[in-house]
Amino acid sequence: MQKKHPAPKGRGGRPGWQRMLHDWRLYLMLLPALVWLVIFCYVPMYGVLIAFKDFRVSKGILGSPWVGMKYFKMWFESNIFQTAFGNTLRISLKCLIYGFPMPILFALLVNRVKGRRFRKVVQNITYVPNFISTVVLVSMMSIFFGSNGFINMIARALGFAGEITYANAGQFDMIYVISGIWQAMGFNSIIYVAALSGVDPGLYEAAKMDGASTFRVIWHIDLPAMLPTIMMMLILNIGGLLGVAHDKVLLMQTGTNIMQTEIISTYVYKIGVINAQYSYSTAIGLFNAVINFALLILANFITKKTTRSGLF
Amino acid sequence: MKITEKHRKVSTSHSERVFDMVNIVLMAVLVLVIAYPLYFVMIASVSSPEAVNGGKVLLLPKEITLLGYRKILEYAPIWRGYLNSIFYTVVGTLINLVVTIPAGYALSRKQLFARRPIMLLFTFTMFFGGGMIPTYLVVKKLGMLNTVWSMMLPGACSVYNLIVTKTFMENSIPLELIDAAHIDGCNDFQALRSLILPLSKPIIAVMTMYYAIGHWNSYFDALIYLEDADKYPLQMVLRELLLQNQVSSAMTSGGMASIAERAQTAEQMKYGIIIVACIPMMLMFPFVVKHFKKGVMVGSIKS
Repeated sequence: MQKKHPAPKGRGGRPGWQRMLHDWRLYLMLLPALVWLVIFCYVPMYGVLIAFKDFRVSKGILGSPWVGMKYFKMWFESNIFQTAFGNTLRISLKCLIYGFPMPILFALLVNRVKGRRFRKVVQNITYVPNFISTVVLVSMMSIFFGSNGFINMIARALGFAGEITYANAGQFDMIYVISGIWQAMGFNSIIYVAALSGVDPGLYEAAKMDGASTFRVIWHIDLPAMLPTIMMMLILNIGGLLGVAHDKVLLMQTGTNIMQTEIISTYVYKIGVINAQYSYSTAIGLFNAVINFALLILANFITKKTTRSGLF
Repeated sequence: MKITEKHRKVSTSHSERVFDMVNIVLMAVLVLVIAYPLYFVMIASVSSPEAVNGGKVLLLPKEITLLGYRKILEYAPIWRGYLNSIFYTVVGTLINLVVTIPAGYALSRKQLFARRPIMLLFTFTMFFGGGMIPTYLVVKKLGMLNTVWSMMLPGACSVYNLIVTKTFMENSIPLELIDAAHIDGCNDFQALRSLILPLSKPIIAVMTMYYAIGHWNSYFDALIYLEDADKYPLQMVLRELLLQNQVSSAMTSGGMASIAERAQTAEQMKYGIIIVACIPMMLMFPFVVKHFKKGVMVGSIKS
């Protein structure tokens, strides 16, 4: 206490290198993360160059000859392009349209449940599927949608003709989307419920005094309270529009539904990792990443213009 | 309090009561839809395959038999996968924490020179990346293909988790405390160890959960990077057994009378395998939910 100390760090004024030197311990703490960032994020970003080259492992990235847009042309002209691009867009749009509103709806309803215990039980049970791995989820589906699976038994009992299975190209989308909702709805609702818990209780009292119906309360109080969160999640979702979860789709692919389920990322995996066509697969991956990035910027721009709340 | 309670009861209108009723029924149906498939796997795993296939097992297990579980116990690859997954999860999560927590602290200090550009470097990778193949080539170049490191190092950090950690530390550790520690002669290492880490217990718990569950549940990295089956994590073993239908050929050989009988035992084993794979997660569930929820809250502050 009696020790006299120079004022706690002159933060302004001093040149940058002096401050870095002074805080070298902080930089050391940052070092592992920075090394990881460079090696596993930025080196691969540099590696994207091979999309414009005829990459040979023996020659390295720099030594391989430039080929310009050859692989992009090849991609746009290949007959898989339309299929994979269309499938990716179709599946993720369906996920967005059906899957995105569900956690919001669920949050609104569960927030209206008056018994605290019951509400807690409902919420906790809806979280459970989120912790099940993709492999286990798809395995469960492969059993349930088998001809002896309980879903088909119920369907038969209800007089439904034919078998319901995701191996059926026509039923894949529905099963993919619904299983996604089953797994993620509860957990994704947490963030919306949190937004609702911030609503001033006085607002509800006032609405009640005015004789507002439950629907009006939801419409005029709850929804506006959630709007910033909804917008943020929407931007993120649109930014990931071409980022369909390849691990789940890959597991659900069968010989019979492949024309409906081959998406860009599963195709990249197959021709890149399995066939070792590195340049071509990188070009396709880059195409995917650029569109995603553009979509994100666009979504952010639009929401900023319309609601004045954006991600950045 | 009592008055308002009474007041609320009185003013509960007819339409509101109808809404509440419908809502409760809806929630109950939802719970059923979500819980039943899981419950069904449980009861099917201990029922006789004939009963399951005959559609007799709906609410309670029928003709209870543990044959499926016994067969699973005898099947070595599952347990090897289990051990591998435990290894990847424990060591991988430790690496994750060592990378994420100190970095999160460093980035939370506003005095850090070039903090904004560094943050930008991190954040940018959330929206744009080299993609699957260039990353694969880096792993290959580093000689990590088909090694245990490929399971832990490429995912040694998650930028999202790092930002959540940084945000937590910015918001919940008072600057005065850090300054006081410095005045007392602590350097940043000492401050981290004796002040920051104890105060960051909640976020460390959240990060442990996030990372550990990620490791336990993932299979795709193993699919890309691993070749030897004896290095496979549990999820890869499950994928082969359950989705590529190797159960019947691999597990039911020996002592089983007919092919039909084998096929049925294989069916029952599938349910058992699912349960076995989910046990660690389910045991930790109460703890996990508590911390995951917290994590989502902290994460949502950032924007």
